[in-house]
Amino acid sequence: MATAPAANDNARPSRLGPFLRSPAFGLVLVALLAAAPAAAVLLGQPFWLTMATRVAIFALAALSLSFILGQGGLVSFGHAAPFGIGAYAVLILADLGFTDALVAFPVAFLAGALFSGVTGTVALRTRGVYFIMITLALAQMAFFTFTSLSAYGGDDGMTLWARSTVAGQKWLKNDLTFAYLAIGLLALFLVLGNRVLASRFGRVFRGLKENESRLAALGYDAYPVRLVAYALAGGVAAVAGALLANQTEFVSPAYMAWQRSGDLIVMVVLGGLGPLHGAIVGAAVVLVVEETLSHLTEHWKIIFGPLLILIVLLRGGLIARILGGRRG
Amino acid sequence: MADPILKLDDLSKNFGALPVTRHVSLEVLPGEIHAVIGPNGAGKTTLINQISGVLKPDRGRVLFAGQDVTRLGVAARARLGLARIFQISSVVAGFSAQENVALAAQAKAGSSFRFLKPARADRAIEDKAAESLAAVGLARRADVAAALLSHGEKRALELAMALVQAPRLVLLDEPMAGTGKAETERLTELLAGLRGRLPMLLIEHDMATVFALADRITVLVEGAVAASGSPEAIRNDPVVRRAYLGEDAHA
Ligand SMILES: Nc1ncnc2c1ncn2[C@@H]1O[C@H](COP(=O)(O)OP(=O)(O)OP(=O)(O)O)[C@@H](O)[C@H]1O
Ligand SMILES: [Mg+2]
Repeated sequence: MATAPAANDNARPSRLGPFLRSPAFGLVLVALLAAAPAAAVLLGQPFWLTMATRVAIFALAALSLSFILGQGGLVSFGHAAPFGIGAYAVLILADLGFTDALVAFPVAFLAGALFSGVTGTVALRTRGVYFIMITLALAQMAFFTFTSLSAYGGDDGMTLWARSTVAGQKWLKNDLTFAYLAIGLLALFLVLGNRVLASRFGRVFRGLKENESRLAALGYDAYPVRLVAYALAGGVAAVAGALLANQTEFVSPAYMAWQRSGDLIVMVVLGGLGPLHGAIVGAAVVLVVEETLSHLTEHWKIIFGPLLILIVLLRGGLIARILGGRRG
Repeated sequence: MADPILKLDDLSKNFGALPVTRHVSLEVLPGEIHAVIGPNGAGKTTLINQISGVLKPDRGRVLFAGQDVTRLGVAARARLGLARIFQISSVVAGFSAQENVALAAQAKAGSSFRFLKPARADRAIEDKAAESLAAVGLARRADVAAALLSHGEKRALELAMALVQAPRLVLLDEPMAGTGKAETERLTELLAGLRGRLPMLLIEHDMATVFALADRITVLVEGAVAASGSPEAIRNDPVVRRAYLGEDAHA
């Protein structure tokens, strides 16, 4: 067309940006993460085995938040609640005699999805700052509820008797096997998440973030679409929580403290608020920085805070320029 | 005479103490292009907002396709076949032109609660979208992000999104505003080609476009209908000339 600004869409400075945003790069990141446990064992560095497992677990939780926050624009400040509920699902089921992961993990998913689905019916009626506040408030209610569960250790939490079995086998006692379970679940939900985003449902969900009034004028109701996405994200967060309970063999209300919700937001923001796999980068950066700085000083958050602001500022300038363009 | 597709029955709306819609009654008949003109601030967009469901009227009723939709929300009215082009272009900026139109087509083609099959694998929808883009002259821009389209191209894209839904009525709020001369002519020709098949409520400041397209014209002044009739009748109406066309001449 005559008036088309032909230069505009050719003006992308690098080819790296589109690749870094593509699902293929997500698989590269998972492959890198998958190399870490094997390397840790070969090099006799058990600490790095634990670290890689933690990164996978928190990347999964952050990925589920990224699904609703980065792709759907829903800034939940309560995502630690379904995460913690997943951990408690493992503890409570074990207490009732159901110690197998094939029971505990699906139940954890359903419990997290149920919590998010029910709280979502309230939270998703609000917008903007109100949504942030109400998700925080609802998560705090969950937090205090579990604090008062004296049968499960109240404030202090409780130790898990043993890691979940898999079809009766005690495979997960082995830290290397466990690491690959966590990384495998991360890969699975990354692939599934990207598929959902590319589906008819995902198209509507992504569109709602950018222009809700346009979608309404096309005939789309935002609420049921967002509610389903919100519930799914809660379910996946709970699976991450179930993994953390197994890794630490310990469950406490601290898993669903508001600081934890904040950490997850930080991971998503650091990961770039864009493609889901950014959550892997975000989780790795936060956990490694936390580990490094906490060796230097117990007030590490005083260093981490400004560092974070710096990174976010750079993203608006330097990093965004390297990546080129606004989004893919 | 056929039943009107849209009927506004004594619609009134105030913003605080300011009346912006006053006892407006009008009809759009099947296949008809009904233009609403009026000076800036006459309440044209506010009227469209009440028809599409963004705003609730203080009194009066909106009847669409034989149904009282006064209490329905925006999305519900859209699902009944009401499409809209906004005064300020409204598209999904991060989506390509193709995906914008596919999104519009998808709303009319089964449930959106399908989670695993890639949306782009749905040939029927993608083909329909491509066809609609071609109809508005955007075929070559299909893969460009909507944010990177020119102003005129965005207007055309919105039109493609409306048309792909095979709506029963289109509300057009100044579709030509800010487009170049060539684009205006092309869009006018496109709309003229739809005359008789697709009813439209057209708001437009460009009088050449209005008189080229409209079967009927309603003049809105300060929220009230000042005149309504055939283009010739409106052109020669002394009240209209004084209240609007005259004013337009030295605006
Ligand atoms: N949300 C609102 N609150 C208060 N007043 C409003 C609001 N929206 C519009 N108005 C006022 O209502 C009147 C009608 O506005 P409207 O946008 O409907 O006019 P219009 O005929 O579409 O004008 P234009 O030709 O400039 O698009 C104007 O005086 C405007 O200032
Ligand atoms: Mg207007």
